[in-house]
Amino acid sequence: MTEQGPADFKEFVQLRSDKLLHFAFWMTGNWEDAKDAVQESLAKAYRVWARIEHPDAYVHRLLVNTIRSSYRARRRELLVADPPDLGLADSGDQALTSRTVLAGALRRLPRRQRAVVVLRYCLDLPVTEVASLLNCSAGTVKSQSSKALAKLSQDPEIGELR
Amino acid sequence: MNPADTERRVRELAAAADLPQGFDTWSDVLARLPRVRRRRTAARAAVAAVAALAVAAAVTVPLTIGAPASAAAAARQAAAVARTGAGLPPFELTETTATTPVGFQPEPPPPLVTEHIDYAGPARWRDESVITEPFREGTQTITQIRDGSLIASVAAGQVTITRAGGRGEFPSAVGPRADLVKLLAAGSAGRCAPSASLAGNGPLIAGRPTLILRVGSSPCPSADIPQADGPATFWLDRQTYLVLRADLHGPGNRLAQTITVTGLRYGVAFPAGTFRLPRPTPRPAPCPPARSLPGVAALRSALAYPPLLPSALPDRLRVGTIGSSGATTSRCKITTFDITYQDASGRPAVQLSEAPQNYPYVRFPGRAVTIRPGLTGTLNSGSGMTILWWIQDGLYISLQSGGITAGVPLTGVPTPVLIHLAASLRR
Repeated sequence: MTEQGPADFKEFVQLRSDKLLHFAFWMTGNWEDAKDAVQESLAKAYRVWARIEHPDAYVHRLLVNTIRSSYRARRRELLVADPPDLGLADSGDQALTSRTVLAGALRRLPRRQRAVVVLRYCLDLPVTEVASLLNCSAGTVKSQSSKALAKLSQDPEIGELR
Repeated sequence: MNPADTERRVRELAAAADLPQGFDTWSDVLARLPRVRRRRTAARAAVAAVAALAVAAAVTVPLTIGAPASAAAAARQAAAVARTGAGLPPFELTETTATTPVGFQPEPPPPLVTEHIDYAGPARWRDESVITEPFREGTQTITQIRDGSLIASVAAGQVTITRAGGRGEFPSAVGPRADLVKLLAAGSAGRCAPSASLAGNGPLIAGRPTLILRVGSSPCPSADIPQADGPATFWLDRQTYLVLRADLHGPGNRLAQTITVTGLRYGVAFPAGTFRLPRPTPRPAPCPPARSLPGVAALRSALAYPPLLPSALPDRLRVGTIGSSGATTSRCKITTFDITYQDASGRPAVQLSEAPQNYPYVRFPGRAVTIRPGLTGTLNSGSGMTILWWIQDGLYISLQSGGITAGVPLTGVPTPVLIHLAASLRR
């Protein structure tokens, strides 16, 4: 282990940062919380890095748990007098609009279903890999996907911008 | 939509979202690693160090609150500290807040406030503020002391005691706290959150090492507090996240407010009695409700001071109704009044209002006009209404011509007549 951590840890961070941040962004709906969660998860992973067999799966699970914990903590905070506006941004920017719509719809899903949808459809990972990352069976991934899609199909914003 | 369509739609939206690539997470993660290592080391050494820590705790001030790694987390921490002093040891602080009006505000904040704060905890503090009033209206000192659930406010020799709110927020003699609004926005999520970034270490301020937090313009500007709309730079105490300096910009990127801590000492032991609440000033007997007055003689007798009234009424104006907002002295003398002057056809035309100069009437911005040599007023025109206001003999005086006041439309007089009327006021 070097002063700045094991070399493979640094390499993992550099290689996986984008994927982890994208996953965290879809899970949280905003970049600051996403960055916070990813950094916190990686710092936690560092402590046990030498003992981790499957870093990808471990860090993703850590990330899901960190996001869940931060939600619990945030519920106790009163950060702003008016809650942040999560509505559709009045922007001509198609990318921003897509982000806002999808992030809003994902926030309305339970966390486990959200994680499955993000990994499977937003990050385009196969069922087996999603199952491995979330430490569950392929059947669970499929059933959670099915329930999530059923809910999303009822979401008015998802179909709005066709 | 069926599930297959929904799946396709989600994939389309995710692709169209075009999330950015190329994040440099390593440096941010690295910033958290030394803390992890320190914690582990501390845990191993904990048993052996218990006795030493117990001794050290008696003489050492526990300052480090934690090291948020992201700008948003730093902003949240700084906001929590700025709001209630949460997590800070007792401290003594002197700061100045200089404000330049950058947009219309119903109550413009004072140009300069110097505060001295003695802080023993969220529910035990003392804040003495020297406020330089706007428009060269002098200075006043307001002291607020909180001890437990009660807050005493001392201003102009009057002491009032009120029950404190639950969160124990610091008082603000500055007006709306633009710095807090900005930090809260930077620490929040969503469409209205401005960008925030940590810009490394800053210079020593009040002897403390600082961390620079930059916050971008608000995506959802609010005219209520224009000081919070533009970009801002915060110099935070690197250990406690207390704001040691803030440069807040308003619309057009103009510097609107600067907060500077000039003295800071942590771990202060305050002398007994620092937070003792003074006795409240006896509550005066209730006064009769506001009423209209039958004439100028009745006004002179009911008023707490000799009024300044026109020595000659131009343009065939005559006195119409005389009223008061209901503000009174402890002896039930009224302190504010207005007289509506009617034109030749009996319709309300102009309104004269007077109040002590520290009364919080709106100071409308406008151009300076000379009423007479040595007396300058501010003339605000627009939307069919003209307001001329000025300070004379310790009074705030305004003349309104046109527009609507208290639901009554005023026919108005030409501006030269209004200035002539202003120049004729005498005791």
